Amino acid sequence: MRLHIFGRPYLLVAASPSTDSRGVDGACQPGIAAWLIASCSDPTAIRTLRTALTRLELGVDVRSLCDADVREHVVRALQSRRLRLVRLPLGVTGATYIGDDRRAAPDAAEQSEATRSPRSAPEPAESPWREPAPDAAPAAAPSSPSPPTCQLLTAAIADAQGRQASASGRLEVVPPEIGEAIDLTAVMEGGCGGHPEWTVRGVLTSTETGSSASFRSNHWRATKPGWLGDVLPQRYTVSVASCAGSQRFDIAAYPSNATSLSFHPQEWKTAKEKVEYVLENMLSAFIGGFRASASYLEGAGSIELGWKEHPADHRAYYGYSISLGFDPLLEISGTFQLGPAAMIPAWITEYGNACLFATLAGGISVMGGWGRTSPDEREESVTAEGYVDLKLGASLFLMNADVLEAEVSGSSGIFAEAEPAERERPSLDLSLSWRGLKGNMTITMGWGVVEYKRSFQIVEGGQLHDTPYVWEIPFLS
Amino acid sequence: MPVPVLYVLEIQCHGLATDISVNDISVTRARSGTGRTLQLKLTPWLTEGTSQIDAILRPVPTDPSLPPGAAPAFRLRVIRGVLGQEPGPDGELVRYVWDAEVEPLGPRGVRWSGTIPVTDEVGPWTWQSAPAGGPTDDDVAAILDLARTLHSAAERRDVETIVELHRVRNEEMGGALGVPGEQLAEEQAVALRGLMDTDGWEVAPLDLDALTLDPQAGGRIVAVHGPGDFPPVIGRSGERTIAFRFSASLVGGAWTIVR
Repeated sequence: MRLHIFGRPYLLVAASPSTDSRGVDGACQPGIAAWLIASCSDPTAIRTLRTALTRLELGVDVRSLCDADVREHVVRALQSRRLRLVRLPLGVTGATYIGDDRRAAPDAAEQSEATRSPRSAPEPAESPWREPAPDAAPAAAPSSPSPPTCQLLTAAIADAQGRQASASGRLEVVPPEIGEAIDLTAVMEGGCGGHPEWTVRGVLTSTETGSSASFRSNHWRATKPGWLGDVLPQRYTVSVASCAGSQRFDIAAYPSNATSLSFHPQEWKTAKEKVEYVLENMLSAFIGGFRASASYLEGAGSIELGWKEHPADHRAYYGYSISLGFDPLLEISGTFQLGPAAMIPAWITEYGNACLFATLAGGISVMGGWGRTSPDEREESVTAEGYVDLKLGASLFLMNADVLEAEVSGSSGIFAEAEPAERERPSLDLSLSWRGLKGNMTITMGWGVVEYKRSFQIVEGGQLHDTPYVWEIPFLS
Repeated sequence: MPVPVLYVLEIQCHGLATDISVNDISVTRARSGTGRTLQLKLTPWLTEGTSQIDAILRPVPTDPSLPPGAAPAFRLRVIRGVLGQEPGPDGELVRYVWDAEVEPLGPRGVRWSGTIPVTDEVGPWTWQSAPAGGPTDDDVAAILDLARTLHSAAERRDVETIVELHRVRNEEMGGALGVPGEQLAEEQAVALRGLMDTDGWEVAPLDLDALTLDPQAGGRIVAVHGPGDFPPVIGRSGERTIAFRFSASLVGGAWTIVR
């Protein structure tokens, strides 16, 4: 039978082991229309197909089959009936139903086809099929096609925990080391003896028969360490076929790698490099000698990572629980001479050379937590607290004898600002800034004040590093 | 002149109003919470043997220039050493670090007292022998007149008068700092002329009614404050400002600038 589907000519043929390279060894007779209708379980498709097929008259297009969903449904129905739609070359002009194509004469091939099909259901003993004979004259209609003997009503798959596939047929699992059993269940009407037939393809291939079956999805582990949130799953497709109706499921199996570790912040390479950069290249240039007095990256961090099955539905998710507690991230205490990069105003040096000093006291702590406990729930919390107070002062022991008092007002300091970074992986935006070295100086001589709140600036404030500054958490990169 | 041993008060604080007294004489105070580091040679206020030091810390509105993590802090040290050499840890005679958890800062503030061991020869100072008791009305008038005289001299760019008004102070400060009093007087004159002999020299108006007299050390010395705790006499030339903050004692029957 030739059909015109989506603007292309098709030939409806039987799919049998003897199918030749063109896949054409039989043509549909008009009586198959009723069976085609019956093979569609979806009411809408049935109605559409019935309408389409009842209009299968000479010179009438089967326009309804241009609908992709209907076409797919028909194709599935045909496949379950071991029939196929074969697309003809474009040059074939049979764009309309032109009647039943029949082979010139039934021959041994038809007999052997019947012989090769021990089942009575898929290809009835009184098969409506004949080998293609496009040029042959239409044959007389057979008495009647054999009715299908089974119909798939519903099918379902579930993992060992009873989690079922979604409405669209997707199930995500995280197989343990022994693998995970996937139960296959079909509800049938009637019975043909060979259906339902389950076909599993993907990492493994198998075929099962029966209303209840199962297969085991393999356990696997990713060889790549670290963050596996973006790993591609292993995939399986499960198809269930019956004489009338079929269904397909997709299974995504994620690796079972589970990471649980704690680390010392000094192992946090990103943080260590950046804090040391700040200490050595920024602060030391202006404030010398305090490197040994600084403590940094004290505390602890812990990480738990792993794919998990969501108990409430078909999904799996990359769960994680990460906590960081740096107390301090940076702590400095002591009094230090200004470094070579500090531009000390000449009017100050008139009262004493190298008399200015900086006192740093305080610490900055950073706490962070990231968690994902379901596909839809993520938590992030990052806080930075504390302040390294920086004060400039002038030492009277290093100033001229006639100076009675020296006061430097204006507080400076180092502070941190932190927030979760907008990245797929947990990380944080953390910047260390200082408020610069500037002050107002009042110098009181023995006879009275001579410099009263005179302003000076040794270095502008700002961030102590380049921006943007994303601190990637160790083991996640 | 031998270089004297220095007794230096060091204060580091922010977020607090402070008032530090030695032997009941206020040596430095600040009303704002602006962070500051101060060093002050204490010798002119010390007495031989032991001297008392008091610190009063009071809350102030949060300094908006400080980040949230910067809590109020206060540290006080008294360091003994010699000029030209930064004293080591052994030079620290007194140390006080305010701990907000141990001494919560209530609305009335926190008061701390300590003792400074003075093992070197200091003084005696004029204020020690001045009569005790609060200033009488005549004393107040005399002190205000002293302020008016200083302000007038500054307005008139009368350097000689200003230097003379500071004669006792310069002598005693010179002794405390190891600098001849005459040198201080000369430096004062040079510095004042450098500022006053300019077209831009100007002096802030003096409002005698706004001055505050603060008797200290049993009334032996009276500190004079301008409005808002500013110095009573302030002059400026361009970007440079000079402030005359003074305390006076009754010396030989006349109120005289001694600190």
